[in-house]
Amino acid sequence: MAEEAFAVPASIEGMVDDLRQGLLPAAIFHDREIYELELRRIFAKCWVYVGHETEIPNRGDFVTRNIGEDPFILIRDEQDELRVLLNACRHRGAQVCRVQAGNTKGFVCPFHGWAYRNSGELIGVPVRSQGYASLDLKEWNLFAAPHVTNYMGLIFANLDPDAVPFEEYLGDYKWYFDIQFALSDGGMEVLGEPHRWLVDANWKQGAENFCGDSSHTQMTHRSVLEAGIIDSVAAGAPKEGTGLHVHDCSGHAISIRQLPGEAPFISYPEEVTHHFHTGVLSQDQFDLAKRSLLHNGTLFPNFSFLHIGLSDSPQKPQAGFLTLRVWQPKGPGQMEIWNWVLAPREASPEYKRRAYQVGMSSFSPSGSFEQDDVAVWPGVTRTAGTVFAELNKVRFNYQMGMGDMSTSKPLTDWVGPGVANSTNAGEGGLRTFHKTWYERMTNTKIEIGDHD
Amino acid sequence: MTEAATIHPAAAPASQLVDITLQQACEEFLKKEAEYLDDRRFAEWFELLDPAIDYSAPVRTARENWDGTGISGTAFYLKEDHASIEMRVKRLRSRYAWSESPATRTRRMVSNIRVTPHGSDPALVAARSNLVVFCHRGDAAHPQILTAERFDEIRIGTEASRLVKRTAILDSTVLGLESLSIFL
Repeated sequence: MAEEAFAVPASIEGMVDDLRQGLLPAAIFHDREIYELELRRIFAKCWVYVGHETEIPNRGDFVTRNIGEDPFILIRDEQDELRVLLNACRHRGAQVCRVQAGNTKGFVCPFHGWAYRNSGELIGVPVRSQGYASLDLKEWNLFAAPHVTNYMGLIFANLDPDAVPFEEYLGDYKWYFDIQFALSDGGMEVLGEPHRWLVDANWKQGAENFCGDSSHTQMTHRSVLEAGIIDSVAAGAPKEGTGLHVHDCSGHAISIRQLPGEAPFISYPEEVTHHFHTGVLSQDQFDLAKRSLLHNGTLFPNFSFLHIGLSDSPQKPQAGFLTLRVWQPKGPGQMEIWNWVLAPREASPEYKRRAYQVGMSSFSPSGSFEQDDVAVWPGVTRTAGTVFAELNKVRFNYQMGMGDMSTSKPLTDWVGPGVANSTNAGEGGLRTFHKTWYERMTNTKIEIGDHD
Repeated sequence: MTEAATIHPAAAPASQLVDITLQQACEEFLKKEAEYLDDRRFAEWFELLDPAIDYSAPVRTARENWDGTGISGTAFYLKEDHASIEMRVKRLRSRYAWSESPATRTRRMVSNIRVTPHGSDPALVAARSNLVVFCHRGDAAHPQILTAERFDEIRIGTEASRLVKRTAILDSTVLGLESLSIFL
């Protein structure tokens, strides 16, 4: 049965033509109507990241998280099932959980005392025999996300009862995604509570950035290059051969920097890399990881990763780590950034402390890289909110590397899926993100033909 | 994931009094430090740090009252040593450090300073203080305000004093600033 397309909001009418030209209407970063539709058409229908299994290792462990702007409790119940429960009593809607993390066998609502098991099951209603004698308790469990999956330790939830399975949603992007999480048998481990902070920029600003905005590093992060804590190959100007952009990969994108013929292995030291082996990865995936300096990508809509090696001082060796991101929407003009630092589970406690320190030092509210990203992004949101932009239908330029703009053509012999370019002087990953966004917002499929 | 926080330093017993000149020296040190930071005299501020400085600002989460302090022993906004602070200071000198270019105009209020002896070293004191930092950025009319409690170890010397350890515990669980580009 063919699904019906959704009505296109007035502020983005004609956006398909814009996308074909590599242009993006500024309105998508500030329009309230669009934002309200995003919450319903994207966040209520896509697979959204809620946490990692190593954050809640024991039965009863929970953390509070958000899907769109809605508050949920991610909890491991007594049967070891991962549940994503709406943080709202079924009686009159008060929040049953008012902290950010903990361990509990259940929740008792502070309003009238309805009591739930940590599975969300309603087990008690005060003065039931007097006032709720015929209430069928099993009809009044806490609302739960209809789909929850644990994929290599990553817990995603989907609020759409008709959602496709996570692996189908991930699609061909799995080839790149798995490299980040399956280099060793134990996978990756979260190294502490997340950083959370507010930035006056639209959530898509962070999400698109991690799709492969390689040309921003030489300018936005110039101070870090000057401070000497990263190699210019890894963060300097885009370069043919070392920079690789993959886009149109089941709607997702990734940016890779590699040293062909060498084995930097994302700057993990030998004490860590000796735990790495192909395992569930193919030899091609493993070899890519081995020659890589960094990988960064976004799984649509708002989950990003950066696998990189850095240092907190030019006097100290680099250390590899993985940072995970959620760009949580908080209105059209603001997001809350969530950041976790991870390391391979087999790494020593000393290495994990070092990886955390390096991760925090570079990508966090105080990160020497990230501080400067968030100093720039609010300006885009401000521009998008101008009356001038609205009256003049201002569109931003995302044409870098597109068609005639580049002499580089997609690789024909690339080992992985998606459209791979051997130069990272392009914004194809960002175009992929916004194409997926448009398709989700309109419930249509569009053909762009990036290299026509 | 994280062991219960053990880093919340216990205050020394109030009965342990410290010499009044030591108290004054400690207060002057903290005021001078705040002045250097507000004035962006980072080279001079850096000189106040002991080479073995252990400088951290842990992440905290809201927990039930019976479930510990919520102050993390594993997650931090800042977890610095001498070399990493030197890198941060060096970066701030770049005109391309956009978070501080143009600079945040900060105004630090350091109060409730309580000084107690620290161990057997007579020159080493523990200082507990409250910190309020008003941060004005760009053309924003209103400041962002950070509040924290600081637990310091300071070596008071006749010629120069040095900060040996600082744990700055922010009161917020979600930072309202777009970045933490200042020292606490």
